[in-house]
Amino acid sequence: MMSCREFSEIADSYLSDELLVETNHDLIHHLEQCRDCRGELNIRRQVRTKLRLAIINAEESTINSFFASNLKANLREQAKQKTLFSFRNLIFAPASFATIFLIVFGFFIYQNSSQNLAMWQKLSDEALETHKECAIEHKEEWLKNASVNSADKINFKEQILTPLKVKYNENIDLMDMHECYFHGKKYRHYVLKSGEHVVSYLQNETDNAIPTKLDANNDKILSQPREKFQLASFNGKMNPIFIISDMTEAENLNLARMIQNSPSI
Amino acid sequence: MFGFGKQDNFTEFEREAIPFLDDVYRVAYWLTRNQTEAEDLTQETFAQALKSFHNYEIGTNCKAWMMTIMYHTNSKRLRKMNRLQLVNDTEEKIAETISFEPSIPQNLTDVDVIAALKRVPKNFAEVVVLADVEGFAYKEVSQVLNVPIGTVMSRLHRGRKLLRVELADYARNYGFKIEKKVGEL
Repeated sequence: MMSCREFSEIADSYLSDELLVETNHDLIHHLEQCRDCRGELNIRRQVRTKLRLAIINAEESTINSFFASNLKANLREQAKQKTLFSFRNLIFAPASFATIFLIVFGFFIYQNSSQNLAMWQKLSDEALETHKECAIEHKEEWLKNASVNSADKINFKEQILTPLKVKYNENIDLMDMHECYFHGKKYRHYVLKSGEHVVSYLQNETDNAIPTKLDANNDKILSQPREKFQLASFNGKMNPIFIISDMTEAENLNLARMIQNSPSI
Repeated sequence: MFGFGKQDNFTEFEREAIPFLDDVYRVAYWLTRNQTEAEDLTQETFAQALKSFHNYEIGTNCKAWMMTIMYHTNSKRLRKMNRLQLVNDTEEKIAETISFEPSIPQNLTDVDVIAALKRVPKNFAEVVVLADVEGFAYKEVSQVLNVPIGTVMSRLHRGRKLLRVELADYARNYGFKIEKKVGEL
């Protein structure tokens, strides 16, 4: 049997319909027998109604109609902008992604070509040293050998030099051909003579061809002055090839192009 | 996507959420007890609701959803202003020590009722407003306030008791006779 005190504790939950069925049943049973508690419940119900009406009707907690209509207008505007923003995103998002992709891809390519260019510079430096230490240092020796014809020399003359003579009217003599090793790199070295100039045709047989375009003009030949020499480099079938001489840059580059275009290279 | 998904228009928001503008403002007022702050809070609540409307499932309790956003927004605002307070121990103790509940006369005016509610500490008054004025179930109040349901029940019990005491005080000022009920001393 529920006491009046117990009733008092749960009366509000009863009004809120938050009691368990059994407790509800006990409470109703108590109310049937207790007049005071019926009165108390009635008062609490009235207080709750009064509270609700008082708050709902209170001027201070009633929204200002001007503020309300302003807020609605702002929200409508906000929604419009959001829709517009979404629409713009729908259109521009692919373009943005493409731009980002191109930037990243471009950067990757730039990084890659920078690295390759650095590799070319290093190989060019080594080839130049070989030219100086071999072709220039032993110039007299090569001149003496110029008249000696070996099978390889004849082969090179036929495959490279004769076509140059026929096609470009370029008079180039082969003084010597040999294999030499400098700084741990193996070179197939053709020592050529163009007029008074000693020209080295150096095929680096240690390093593989570097798969990249060599200069901004995309002509696949990197031409650069080094000390008092001109150095032109390009990829052969398997290895990098260097043409080094003390001719002018145009002459050296021109010779390099003619050799590069030779069907045997 | 960016605010609107399946409910991809403002009309839906207008139909579901805007009707609760009055209720949100009213609760915001009782939460802040200041009209300007209540307007700011209402505005922030609706802006946030509009932004998150794609998360709302049509047909569920939109009023409770709005209230949850409002309480969350208010917590953020208070944190920003360093005004977030946990339930005050003193308030808990005051509520705890009330053992005598006077009867409440019926002739109180709305002004008395409002004034009495204002004298109830905010943490207790807010649950009373949510449950007894706005009609939320205990479970919904617990979700809105993000507190356990036991805490809601306890705060409600104390809040209602405090309100009754305050109302009785107003009645006493008008010269009503308050009689203690036997067994409640």
